[in-house]
Amino acid sequence: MSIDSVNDLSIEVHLLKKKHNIEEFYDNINKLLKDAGIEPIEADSPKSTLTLEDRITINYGKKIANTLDREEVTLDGLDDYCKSPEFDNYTQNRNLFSKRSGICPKITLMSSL
Amino acid sequence: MSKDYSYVEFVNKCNSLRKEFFEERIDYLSTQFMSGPMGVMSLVFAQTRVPEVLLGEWIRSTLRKEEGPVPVKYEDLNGEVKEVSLIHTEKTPPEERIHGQNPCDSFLIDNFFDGKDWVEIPVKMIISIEDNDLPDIDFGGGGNVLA
Repeated sequence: MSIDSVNDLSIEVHLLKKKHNIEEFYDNINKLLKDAGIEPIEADSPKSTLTLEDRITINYGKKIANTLDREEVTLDGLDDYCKSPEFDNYTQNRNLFSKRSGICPKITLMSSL
Repeated sequence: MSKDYSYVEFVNKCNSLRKEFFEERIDYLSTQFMSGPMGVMSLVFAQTRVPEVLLGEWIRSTLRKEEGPVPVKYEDLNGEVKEVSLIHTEKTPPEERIHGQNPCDSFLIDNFFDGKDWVEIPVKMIISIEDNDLPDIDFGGGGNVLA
């Protein structure tokens, strides 16, 4: 297929979005995130180069930061969190979310364990 | 969800479209400028706006060095090849904007001065710039066409 211009490329991307129901996919992702108490992800944007996984991971991080009542997540904070009873719930939520979405958020806690 | 929605397929198709688009424009100055033997870094680098911003700044510095106008050939958003003569100006350019709906079809539109008006140019679509300094630049024989 030959794409003759930038605008043609945009049209093709738009058609692909429609064909693969991407907006509906994001809506359903956001429903899952809402169930897990996580902030919804932003829609596609040319200004953002974050992947879907990155967007989910960031919002997951925000939830952890909120749970810890901190402005940002640090390794010390994560250590505290992992030693707390809340961690069990977090693990359960993560497994539940991963199972339902088929997406494994890229949060690695191993270094702090 | 992954059974109901083929998101990965969508992303792969988008990436293929962009790759194909730039493969057909491998000889463009912008593609040469934004490529290079950077290996994995080039992929990470290409996914940011940095290469486009750098090329825009390089053009501005080239215009600053030249006494006369510099002919620039580029492809506009509709696929039409245009030629403009750009000159250096101390005026503040209008704010750049980004065209597109997601990273796969996004293009930075920068503003350059032709002596009378501001010309909006999608930086990645610059085909050539006539300037004596150009032969001194080693583009490294091309590389990442996703840039």
